[in-house]
Amino acid sequence: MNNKIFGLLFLVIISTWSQRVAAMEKYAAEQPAHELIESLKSGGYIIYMRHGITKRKDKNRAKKAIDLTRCETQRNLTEEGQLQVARIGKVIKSLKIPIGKVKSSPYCRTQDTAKAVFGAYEVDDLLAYSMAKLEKESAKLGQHLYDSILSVTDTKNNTVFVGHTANLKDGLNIWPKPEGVAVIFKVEQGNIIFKGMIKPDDWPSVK
Amino acid sequence: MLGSLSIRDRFLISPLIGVLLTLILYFTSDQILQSHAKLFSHINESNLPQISEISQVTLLLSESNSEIITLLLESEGFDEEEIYVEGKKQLNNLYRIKERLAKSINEQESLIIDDEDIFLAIKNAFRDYLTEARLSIEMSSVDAKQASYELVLANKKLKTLNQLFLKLSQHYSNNLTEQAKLVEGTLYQETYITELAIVLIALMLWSAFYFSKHTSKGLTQVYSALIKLSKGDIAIENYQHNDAYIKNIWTAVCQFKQSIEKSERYQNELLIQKFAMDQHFIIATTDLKGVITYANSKFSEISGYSIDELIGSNHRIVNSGNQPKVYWQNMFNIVSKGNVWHDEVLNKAKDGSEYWVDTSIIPMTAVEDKNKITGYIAIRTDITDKKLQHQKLIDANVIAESAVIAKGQFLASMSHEIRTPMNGVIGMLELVLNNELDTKNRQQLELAQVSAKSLLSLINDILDFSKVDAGKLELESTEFSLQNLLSEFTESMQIQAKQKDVLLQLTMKNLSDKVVIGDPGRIRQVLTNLVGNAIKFTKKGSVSIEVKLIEYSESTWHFNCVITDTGIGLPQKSLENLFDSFNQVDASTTRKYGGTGLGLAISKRLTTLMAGDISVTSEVKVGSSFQFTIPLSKSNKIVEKTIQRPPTLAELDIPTWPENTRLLLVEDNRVNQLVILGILKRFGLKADVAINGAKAISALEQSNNCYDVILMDCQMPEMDGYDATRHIRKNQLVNYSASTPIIALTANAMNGDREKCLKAGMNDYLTKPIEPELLLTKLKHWLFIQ
Repeated sequence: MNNKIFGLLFLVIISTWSQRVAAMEKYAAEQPAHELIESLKSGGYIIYMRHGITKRKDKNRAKKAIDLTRCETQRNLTEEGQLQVARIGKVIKSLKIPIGKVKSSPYCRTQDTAKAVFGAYEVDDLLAYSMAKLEKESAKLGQHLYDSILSVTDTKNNTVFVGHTANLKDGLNIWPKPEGVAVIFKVEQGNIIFKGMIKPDDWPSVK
Repeated sequence: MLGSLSIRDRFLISPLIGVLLTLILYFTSDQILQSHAKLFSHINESNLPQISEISQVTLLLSESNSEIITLLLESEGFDEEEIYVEGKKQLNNLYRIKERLAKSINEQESLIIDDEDIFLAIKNAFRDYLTEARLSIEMSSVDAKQASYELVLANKKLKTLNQLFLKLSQHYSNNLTEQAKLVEGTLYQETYITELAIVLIALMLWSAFYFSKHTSKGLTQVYSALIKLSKGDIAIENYQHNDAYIKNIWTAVCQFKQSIEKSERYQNELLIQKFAMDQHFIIATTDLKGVITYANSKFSEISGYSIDELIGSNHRIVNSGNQPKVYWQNMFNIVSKGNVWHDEVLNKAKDGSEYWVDTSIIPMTAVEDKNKITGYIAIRTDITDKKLQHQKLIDANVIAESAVIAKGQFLASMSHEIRTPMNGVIGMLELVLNNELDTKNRQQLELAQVSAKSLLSLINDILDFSKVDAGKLELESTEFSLQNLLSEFTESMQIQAKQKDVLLQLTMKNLSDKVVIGDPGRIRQVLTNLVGNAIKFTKKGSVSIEVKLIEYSESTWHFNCVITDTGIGLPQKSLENLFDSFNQVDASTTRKYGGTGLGLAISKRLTTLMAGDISVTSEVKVGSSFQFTIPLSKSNKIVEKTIQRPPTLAELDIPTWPENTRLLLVEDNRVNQLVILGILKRFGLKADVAINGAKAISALEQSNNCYDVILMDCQMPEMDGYDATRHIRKNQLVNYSASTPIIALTANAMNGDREKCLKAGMNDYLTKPIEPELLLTKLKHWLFIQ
């Protein structure tokens, strides 16, 4: 009896997951970045933004476990990165792209990015980097991201999530590359539609 | 104490000790094995699996580590996303190893090696390695070089971890060695099994030896004694034994010996008895079918067959064939049911001669079942000679009996033949004496009358005696008054007493108004004989009759009568034979006093016949005393106080007969005709005479059946009274008045005459000589009935 119930549950999960993937592929035809930027102006889109450029060789970093309250235990934005996100922030402001709710991972590099690009933001602990987590936890975080995007109802403004590569890969099977990229989605008839990516260099220069 | 054990217990002791020994060995060894097993299982549970676990964890870690290295080395060929997926796999792998290690380490309590908690150290070292490795993997998708650098750091931590694993493995190995040493020591631990086993085995052997020695010796002696006994040798030695069991066997053997001795004694006695029996009896045994299985020499001697011829033959070999088949079937029915058959049998010898044997056939039964018949024993005595003598006796007896019958017939016919003329003589004298006669003639005729009556009584005595002797006298059984009988009797005897000037006295005790049942006529006859004798033999003096009635039981009285006289008495020696027939004191007595000498013999026989007895005491010249006692049945009636006296002829009360009364006298004898006609004339009656039965019938026919009574003589020529009566009665049914009374007049005084007359159809019965008063009574009866 119990086995049957679990079996049924498993089937439901698999089928919903495959539906999700199918939905992604259906609209796989990505729109070019300039079209996306144009679309964003009318609002109603979801923007998942990877943090800006970070340090690779950081011999000063304490070789200890990461502490979210202490930025020195984390991989942080480089100077180049800070300039990069500040520039993107200026462009979005100048293009008058309407920004609604902004949620950020609790890491320093994402909070710095959110602040620099969109100004006001909320920290969502469940957007934390899922890379070094156990498989189950990673899946849980991915699911959280998916649910959060799906539950967005704001059609006037664009809703923003600032996070990491692994979460988007775990939640929607999309790898956001490079650092500072914005991945655009839209919710249509209960489905999340992947519209395309806007790389940091795709943003027009500020006049 | 051991001697009182039963043989079973003795043989059980050794095996019991053996079983005990086995049980002890089993339980002891089981315990040791269990303790060793525990040690081994302890080793199993602790050290060995841990060593193996450590080795496996070490292996897994090295594999995982080299995978990460491979990933980083090949990272140039992949994009970020692919590296991320592979790195994620390796990271999860590390997490699994961490869980496994935590599981195997958390189960243990702390273990201190070289002043350091090794488990805690391993946990920390692994955590450090994991942190570095995680950083390396995290970085792998971002910067492979940075990641490789991080991995180098991680490998340093791994080295520390491996050193700790080595330390723990060594520790476990050392433990294992120590425990193995401990087990080895325990394995050779000292137990007392060997000592206990030795003691028990010794005890087992000893008990087996002890009992077999003692018991077998005793049993061997008993065995040889029994062998001797079985061969019939009863001279056996009786060994003394302390052993109770053997002693009991010896007691049984001694009893067996005694029983053999006893049976030999019995056998000897039986042989002697058999020898004695063989001298006297014919003995044979047969099987169930009658086949002879044993025959003694007497059998062979009498039958003429040899013993060999007899054995194996059926017993029918000596059957004479004189008995029918049914006879032998009956015999077989009796013996086959287990009963003894006995009879005298005529057998046939080999030469064909026949011999009589007194035979008993006895069934033999099986020892085990008394109801099962296995054969028969026949015991016979040769009685051929006895049988011949017996036959002679039977023949002689037949002759004697026919003589007695002839005598009885002679007496009966004599009594008839004598009575008939006597009837005439007495009747004529009676008639003559009724006429007027001169004194002298009257005296002479009266003397003749007395003599004739005396002669008649003498004849009656002889007749009575012969009747009693032949057993033909039957007693009457009527109710009567003893008092009346005795009074009348005494009165009738007074004439005789007065003639002799003897005083006759009657004394009665306890007799008044008692009616008894018996034969008054025969009692009167005894009294007549005894009182008549007393008067006869008494010249002067008195005769007394003393009578008592003694109550004997509820239904019976004893009538006791003593007649005492003062006569001549009897000599003592003659008293013994006094009641024998024809015996008077001496021959001269008969001459002097007269009489047949039968009176006392008849009295004796009559009292005996009435179940009484008679006796006498006497003294010569003083007197005699006769006494008799007779049992009489009681009656409920009470005596009517009337004294009847037989009236004399002159005194007879003659009635006035009905007019034209006619009688028919059928009588062949001329004298009797005259006598009866004379008597009837005095009664005022007339009669026609027919001289035989045929004439009587024709007279009846001619007179048109007008006779009122027929007096019928029985024995007549041509047609006797019986036939005439039968004829009259038969024809009367058609022609004559059926009710003409016929009164028989017969001289046949023998018993059965009355029945014969009545059966022929006569109405009444009178014996000759005719008593006038009796005839008158009968005539009154029959004529007035009409």
